[in-house]
Amino acid sequence: MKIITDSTADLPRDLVQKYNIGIVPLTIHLGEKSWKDFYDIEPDEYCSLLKRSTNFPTTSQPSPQDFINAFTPSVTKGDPVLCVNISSRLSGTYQSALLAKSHFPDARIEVVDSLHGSMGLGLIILICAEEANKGTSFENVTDLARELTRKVETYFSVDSLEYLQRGGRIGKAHAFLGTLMKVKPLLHLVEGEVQPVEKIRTTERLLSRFVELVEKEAGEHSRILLSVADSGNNDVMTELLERFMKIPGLSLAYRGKIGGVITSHVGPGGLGISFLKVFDG
Amino acid sequence: MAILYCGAKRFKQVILAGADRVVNNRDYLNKINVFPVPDGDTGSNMSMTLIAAVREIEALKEVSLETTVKAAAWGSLMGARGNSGIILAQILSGVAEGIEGRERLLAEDIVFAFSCAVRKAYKAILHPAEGTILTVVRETAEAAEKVVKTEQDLTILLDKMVRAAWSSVERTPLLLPRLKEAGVVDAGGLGFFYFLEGMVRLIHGNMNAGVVIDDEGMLNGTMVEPVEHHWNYRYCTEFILKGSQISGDAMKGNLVQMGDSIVLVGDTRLARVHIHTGQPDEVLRYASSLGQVSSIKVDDMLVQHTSRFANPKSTKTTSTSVVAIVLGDGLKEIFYNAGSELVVDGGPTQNPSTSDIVSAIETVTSSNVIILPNHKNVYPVAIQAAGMTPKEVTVLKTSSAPEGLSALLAYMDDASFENNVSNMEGAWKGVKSGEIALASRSVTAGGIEVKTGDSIGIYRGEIQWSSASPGETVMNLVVSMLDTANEIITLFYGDSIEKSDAETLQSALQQRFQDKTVELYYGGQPYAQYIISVE
Repeated sequence: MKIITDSTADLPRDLVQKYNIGIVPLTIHLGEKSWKDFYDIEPDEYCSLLKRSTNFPTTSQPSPQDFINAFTPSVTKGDPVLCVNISSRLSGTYQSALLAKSHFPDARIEVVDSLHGSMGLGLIILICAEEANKGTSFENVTDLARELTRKVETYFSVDSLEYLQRGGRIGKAHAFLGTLMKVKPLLHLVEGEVQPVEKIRTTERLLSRFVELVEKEAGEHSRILLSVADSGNNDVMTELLERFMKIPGLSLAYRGKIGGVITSHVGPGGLGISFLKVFDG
Repeated sequence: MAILYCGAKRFKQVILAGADRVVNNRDYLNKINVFPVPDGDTGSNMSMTLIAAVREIEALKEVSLETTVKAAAWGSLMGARGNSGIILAQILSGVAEGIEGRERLLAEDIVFAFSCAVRKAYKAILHPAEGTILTVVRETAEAAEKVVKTEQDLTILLDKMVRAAWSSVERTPLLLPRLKEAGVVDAGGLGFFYFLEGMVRLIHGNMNAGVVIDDEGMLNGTMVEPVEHHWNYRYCTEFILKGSQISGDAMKGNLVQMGDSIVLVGDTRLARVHIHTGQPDEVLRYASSLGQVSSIKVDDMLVQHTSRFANPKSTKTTSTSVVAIVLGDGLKEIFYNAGSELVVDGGPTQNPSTSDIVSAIETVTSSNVIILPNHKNVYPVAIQAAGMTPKEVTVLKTSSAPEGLSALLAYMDDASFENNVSNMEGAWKGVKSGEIALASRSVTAGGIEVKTGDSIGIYRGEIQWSSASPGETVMNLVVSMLDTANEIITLFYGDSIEKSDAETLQSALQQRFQDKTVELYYGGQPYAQYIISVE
């Protein structure tokens, strides 16, 4: 089987190669320039461009044709395709993938709305890829993907709500707009949509809240699988990871970088975590 | 037997009897209340107002006619609730002004006092409507003026006044179509009639004598039907405003932009304000910018209204309301902005009363309330207030505005009460706060020599620095508060500090502490030149 996702999964290159995951890119536009996310520009490079830019970035979803092109080699070979995409509440990418599927009425293609993005979507893809590697059936991996969309939790923080607001992805966090005091909002993806959690002043408080959120899920008979990513906030993420690693039963699935498309919507300085509670046995 | 004058003792008795008669008819007055909005509380409001007047009279140590009348006026003013209550309080203070200096009242004094009352009551209401208590009081006073030309017996005078009041009440539906539609007389007007009638009954010494109306027969059991009403101004908002900076007329001019049924009594020193508005928070914010706001009462008339006609089960779902106690218009704005539903004035120089906090607790929408006292002297008052209400109240031990603010930033209006309490409790303890205040006298404390007029820097309850320059004190206080783990230094500048000076100081701090963020906000607090937080 073939696993395909879009570039907002922000998976590290080595994992993409290891599991031969197909990546359909979204496009980033900043000023006069455009890039294919994941392929044309590295996250850190884009982040520093964005910090210096006076323009505001926009992004565009892949066309159905882009997904048709991605599906075709597998369909030709007769391999089933599992395509998992960024939350349909945040992007029309899922819609494009669905349209591409309808182009192959006889092929075995499943398109799943992940309800997540970045390290959340990446975590779902990685777990499915590992499962597929073990020889698990297409049907079972597809069921697992659908199950994971409900079980993975994604929390993130932004330095300012401006990017989420201007990009139209602010969701219920609009409640935090207009706060007179400067805050770093802590946010939660619920049902694929941005929800506010807390207005936070200091990095210290932010990190301890992240740790608290994961810690309360840790238990004797379970493990926590974690993925993290940042947009131009490397040192703080390193510190956060050090704290996470002290949580018993926690293992890091991977540490990534928030890619160009998601960075365009959260702004530089973002921190994100996704985790899954796995019961032993 | 003719009665030719009224002294202190008799005056007290008639007021008590009048109040008693109103209280006894409270429920009926509530039932027929349709104007200006059918919120069904005219009887309760008039009763509460008169009970407040009676309490003040009964508390008198030195009883003279003047002290008694003044006590009635003052008590009713402080206790006034609702439109009708406020008008009643105006009538009593009008009477008090009219008879100032008298030891006993003759018929002509009473008539004169009543004309003062009428003037005062009409003045208090922004858009006086006829067919209300105002009309009844005015026509009663006019009738009295005619009677006194030929009659000096107070018994006869009052009898005639009560009769005039009654016929005026009967005419109210002709003047106010809404009353006619509902098949009722004006509740406030009828309340005033009861007040007079109670007095007359006492004078006759026979509760069955005098003018007696047949409650049942009068309206023939007419039920009040819902009257169409525009609910743009659904919140009946009342408060007491102390030490306002602007005149009553100017304030009325501004209030009229925010609502209707505006009643403003008192003066700039102490005013009681009543308004029907769509945005009670805006009104309260505006009022807070003028002076100290207390005794706040906000009623959702739509809820009152529908509860009378639709019998709803529950009205409230928001899990948690926050009440903060803070001083300074800038800080109040910041607290409101950060999610506090009500901000009560109070701080180091001005402690709120228990009843101020109780009324704030009662006023906010949720039955779960978190209080941020923000000062160590306010904390015990808040604890006491918390015990005096049936609501579930948690008082956090925040002892400065920055601590309160940090707690408040962790508040989420849709989180559960328990989560809010624990998140807010966890949010304020990492904040350090200090203050820069003017030294009122020279002193040497903890080895620091303080001269009168110096800016002293206080942190952890002790003077850390003293200097003639506020900037120098701020800089040195920050040094003693700061450690390497801290990220943000915040200055809230007080009402005695120029914005440009505060900005200069902010840049100087940022220059000196380059790895920290230095933020500046207008606090407007009167007691401290700067409040500093380090977190």
